[in-house]
Amino acid sequence: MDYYSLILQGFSIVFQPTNLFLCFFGCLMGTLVGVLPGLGPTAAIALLLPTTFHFAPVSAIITLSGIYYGAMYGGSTTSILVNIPGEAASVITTLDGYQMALDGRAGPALGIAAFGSYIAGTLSIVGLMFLAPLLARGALAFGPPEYFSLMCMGLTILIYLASGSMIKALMMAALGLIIGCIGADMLTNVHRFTLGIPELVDGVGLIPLVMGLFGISEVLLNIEIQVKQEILKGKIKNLLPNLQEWKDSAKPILRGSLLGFLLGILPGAGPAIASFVSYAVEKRVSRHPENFGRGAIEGVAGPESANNAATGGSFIPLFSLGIPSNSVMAILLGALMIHGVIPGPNLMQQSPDLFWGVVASMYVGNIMLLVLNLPLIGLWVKLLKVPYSILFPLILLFCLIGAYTASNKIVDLYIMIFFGFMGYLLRKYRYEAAPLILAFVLGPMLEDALRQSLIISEGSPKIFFARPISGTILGCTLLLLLSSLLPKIQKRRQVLPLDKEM
Amino acid sequence: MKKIIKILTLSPLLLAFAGLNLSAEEAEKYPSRPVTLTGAFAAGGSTDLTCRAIGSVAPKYFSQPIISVPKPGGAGLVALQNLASSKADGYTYHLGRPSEMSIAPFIEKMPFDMGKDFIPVGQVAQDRIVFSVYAKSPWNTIEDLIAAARKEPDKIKFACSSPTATTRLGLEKFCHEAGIKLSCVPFKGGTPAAIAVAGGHVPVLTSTVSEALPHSQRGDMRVLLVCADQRVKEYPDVPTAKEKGFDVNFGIWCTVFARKDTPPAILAKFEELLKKAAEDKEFVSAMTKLGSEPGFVSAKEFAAYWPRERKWIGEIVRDVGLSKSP
Repeated sequence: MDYYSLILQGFSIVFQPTNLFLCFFGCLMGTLVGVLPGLGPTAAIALLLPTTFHFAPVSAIITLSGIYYGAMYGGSTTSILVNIPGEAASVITTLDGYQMALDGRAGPALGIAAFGSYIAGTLSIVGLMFLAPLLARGALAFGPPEYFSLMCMGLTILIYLASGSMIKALMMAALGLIIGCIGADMLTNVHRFTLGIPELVDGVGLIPLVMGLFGISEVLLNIEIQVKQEILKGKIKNLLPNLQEWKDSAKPILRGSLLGFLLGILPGAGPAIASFVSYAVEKRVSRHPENFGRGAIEGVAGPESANNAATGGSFIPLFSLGIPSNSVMAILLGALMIHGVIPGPNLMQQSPDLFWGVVASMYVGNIMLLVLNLPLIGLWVKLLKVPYSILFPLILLFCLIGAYTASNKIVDLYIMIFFGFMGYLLRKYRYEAAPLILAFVLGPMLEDALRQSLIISEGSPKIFFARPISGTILGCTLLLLLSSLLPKIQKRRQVLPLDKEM
Repeated sequence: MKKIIKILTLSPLLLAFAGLNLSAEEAEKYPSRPVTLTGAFAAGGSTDLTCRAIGSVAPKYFSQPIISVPKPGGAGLVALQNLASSKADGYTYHLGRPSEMSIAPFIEKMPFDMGKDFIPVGQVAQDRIVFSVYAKSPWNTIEDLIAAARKEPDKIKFACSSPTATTRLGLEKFCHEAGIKLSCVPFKGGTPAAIAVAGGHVPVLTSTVSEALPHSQRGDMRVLLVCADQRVKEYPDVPTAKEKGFDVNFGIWCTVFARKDTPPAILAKFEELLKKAAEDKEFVSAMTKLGSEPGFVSAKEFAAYWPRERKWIGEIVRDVGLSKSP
């Protein structure tokens, strides 16, 4: 394939004034939506979908894709500044990003998040360009047993997410599993834990849960400390990362990009899971894991790169096979079909304009986002100086709006408030919410995959070990578990003084 | 004082009369406000896109905008409660699918009597159900599959988007007619189910035409049967259930419903709009692109068919053992 001329053709499409404008518009909308807590790219894309009906297919996809990866950029902003994730993929960034902000290093945190996102985004587009058809077929090889093994590995990685007491982290994970059970059972449709509330039949939503546990609880914690006037009293040091921070972040960014890209391809995984896994990996390979949770820049660089790389990766199954790997891609699939484009292996040959136009727009979009986000760092950082008495009602308002727009259900607001209070109590007593979220997301997926696999194998657990991919993943999981029991590793994973009273 | 009491007692009567007058006028002036069309599924999905397609051709035939409002949740309960509690004035409708209108009442506890509380206004489109197999499986025709299933009852697995999906019930009805039993592997959604079959993890798939299309075009799946009386244009070589002698002409319909006591004059006007919309070229092309089959069915025809469908769905749900949750 003559990539050079194809990519030039793509750029010539992007640089048409309409498409350039739409790319910018998409990125801007995406950033805004990402910054606002609760609002996510899915809602924004679904809402803006009708406006794209009258455009050419290329233009429509350029706009919608821009919203998607723009949201990954924007989501980190509130995570770092006010400890409230913009959406599920930015939850992990709160762990170290906020600590950096409290340290006066909000600028470098935001900067590394932006640059990491840019590099990861660009790398994943390169991957998309060259590897699309190959990797897409690999994704098809993942059936229920493989997903089960993957989820097992994911839950094992949980160990590395805990900064404080392991027992408490495991308790939170167990709670997450239980909350994940709420809803109608997949196989028999029996209602579990729904307390007779019909809206709970679909389960607890991720957005209200995250907003409550992280957002509302954060506000409650902060207003309890009446003395605090502003989040950051100290001087704000540099606005951009210094050389040392760049050196520390280089490898995490590369690792996050690769990890995110691969996880984005797998249907069902996505930016959120990619960010969790990247954090765990960085903590595991770091020479100073005790810094994680207290402002380690690797804890921001890795996950932020991973979630952006995952967005690039998630386009692969859509363009190559016509398979959406997450809800955003599903809406894009609908958009493509409305425009009469059937995605599939022939897409690259039949509609090269569409494919290369979108790919080129991603390059341009990433640059636009970098340019958009960097100067804004100074502006965002000033937000920290706003008196909290003005800031917190606004945050609460945005959380409420965000939780409601996620699915138009009032019940979601009650759930959010309930978990807000619960999150406040949990954090007062030093229980971390991150393991709960991870277990909440992975648990149901694990259970579904387990049951599907056992139906397929008619009850025999051999299916998990006999199949090569599944067997390999389970083997790695076992190794991970064993390696954490070794005394050498035990010493590294000390219990931090996080259990001290505030 | 007496005067005040007189006014107070007379005014409600006057208002009531005025109200009576208003409703007659309202029927004449209908529509005087935008109309809401709800769906029981999330934004961006095929139900929502169908609502929006109606909304986009409506201005040619209707003087007010028709707004699509997705109300997902509770297996359709949220959308239906919204419809049941809305005013019966012809400004709120629901684009229903079999899953919440015919199937859910047997699965969930719904505080409605579907036939008594809701009235169909017109069907605008439907999605056809197809049965496909993994390309590397040994069955080339539906007869092969039936023969294999007869030899090993309850052994051959099929994937579906949910245990209570319309596509699953369609397959179960087919199995009932063919005298075979297949084993259900449920997934969460049409896409994961299709991927599992395309990757060869489960041999058989029951899905809509559009869910199977990309995989069959790639050659990863083979479509064996379509549940229809006539061949569908996406699969001109695939035999229909009728040709093979099975009574499974069951499509996943898109039918607009209203509250039962909505004035018939207003319903007639809306039905007229739906007929024109369903035949509109733009709508037809939008539906075709989505993989749906546009086509208008009148309220009367649908109302005759619907109770029959609910009856056999109830039987199948019982046979298959799906629980009615407490």
